[in-house]
Amino acid sequence: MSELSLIFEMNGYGFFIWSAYGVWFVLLILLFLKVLLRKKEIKRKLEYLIEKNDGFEE
Amino acid sequence: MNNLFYIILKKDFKDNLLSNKAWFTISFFLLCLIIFPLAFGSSQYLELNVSISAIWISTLFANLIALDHMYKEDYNDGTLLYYIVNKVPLVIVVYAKCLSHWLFSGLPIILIAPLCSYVFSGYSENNLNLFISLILATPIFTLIGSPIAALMLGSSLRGAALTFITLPFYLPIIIFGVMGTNINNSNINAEFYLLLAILSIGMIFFPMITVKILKSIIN
Amino acid sequence: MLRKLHKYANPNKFSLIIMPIKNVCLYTALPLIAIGLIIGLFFSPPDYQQGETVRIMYIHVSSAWISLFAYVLIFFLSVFYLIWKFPLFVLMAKEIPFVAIIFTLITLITGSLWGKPTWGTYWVWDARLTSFLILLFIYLGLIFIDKAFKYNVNGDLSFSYLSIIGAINIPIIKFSVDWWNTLHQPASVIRASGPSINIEMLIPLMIMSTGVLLLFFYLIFTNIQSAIAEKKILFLSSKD
Repeated sequence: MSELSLIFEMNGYGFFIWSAYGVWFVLLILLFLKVLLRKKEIKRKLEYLIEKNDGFEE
Repeated sequence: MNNLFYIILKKDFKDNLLSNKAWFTISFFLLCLIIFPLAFGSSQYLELNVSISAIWISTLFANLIALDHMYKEDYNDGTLLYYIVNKVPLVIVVYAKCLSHWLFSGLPIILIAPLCSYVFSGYSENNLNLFISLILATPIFTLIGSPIAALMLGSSLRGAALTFITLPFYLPIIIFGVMGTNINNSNINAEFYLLLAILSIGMIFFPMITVKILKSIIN
Repeated sequence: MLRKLHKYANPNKFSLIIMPIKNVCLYTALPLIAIGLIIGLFFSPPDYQQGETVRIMYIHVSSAWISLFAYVLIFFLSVFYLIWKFPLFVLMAKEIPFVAIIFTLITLITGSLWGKPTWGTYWVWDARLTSFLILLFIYLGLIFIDKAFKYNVNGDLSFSYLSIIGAINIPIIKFSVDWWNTLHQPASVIRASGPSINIEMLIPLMIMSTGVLLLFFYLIFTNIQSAIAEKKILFLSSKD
């Protein structure tokens, strides 16, 4: 237990290091989600349109 | 060549004087300056730093306000198209536009700023520095602004977008200008050389880009 | 040589070609980032000057490199577009700013979290930090100009010219630590005389940056595919 808390404290700099990594992680996840959601929505729209146009593609 | 330049410059001059644009920029500058002592809330002189930054911020915004109608009216009423059809070299048009823009939004401010600085802070030692750095910086503002004003010609939202996009490019000039103004000894210092270097490169580079942009956008 | 590349010019084909590359990028990026995190957080030695806070470097420096690299990419794509007038280039360039702006934000935030324990302040108005902030605003301007021309052909031209004008900022950022004396430490990895950094810290940094770079490419490629599909949607819905 004490060993684990020693790692998380990082000689008293734990707050800065862990919050930096946290910000990095959260922002990257948000970016990832945004990109994937855009892809999904466009796929849905495209399928709908192709169906409407009687399976026309190119 | 020279003749054409004078004709276009004269036309711009007349346009600026007949519409109220010429007085608008300089009165905007003064109005913007007046905000600073009021916002600080003291009836005393402003601190030297504050008065310098007040003058630079007002210069910046006066320049940006004038930038909006640098090419807008000539684009809307077809004058630019007329120039291209009649094979007027666009370089001349761009230089004339830049010069007239500077004459109406740069020169009055340069002349008036040392006086304003003295009135605001009661301190006149650094007026020469302020004068020189404004002389070097306002043409750079005009030159950087001209390609971006040309870029925004096709878009529907112009005023706010133009201000937002142009501001980051002005920031380095502001930094060097304020650094040059703040130094108290009267020696010519390194910031002025840097501004001069930017000005002399920009005088070739930015009008060249503007010509390219105008050509491709109007076609 | 250029002739050979012509067959990749069709956006549809391009979209199919980048599909496997994209997946390879993602599935190598994630393990690399995980390995880099574990080594960086638990196994790399603390710096003799900065102590444990040096661990922030692994994410700070890698995202800083990405955000500079992304601008260089935009710049070259725009130049290619203006030379060859080929719309796929600008379509690719337009997808980059949104991804790059997140990396710029990460760089600024982690940098200020690193600055507090080592310099004593979260933010200083020195050359490196200010020019990076300007980079953030230039990215914002690029996104803004893209949105402002949604229904206009001039949008592509405006975007590429603006990105070329904004490229002046890149050498200023790179050399700001050498030209002015600032609080920010000078570059220690990419130097003419070889890296001055300890090898035990260099390895996790390199693993981390490769991983983040591949992740960046994955995100860009996905966005490019979406953009191509968006064009298709516009075309299909305008037929009615």
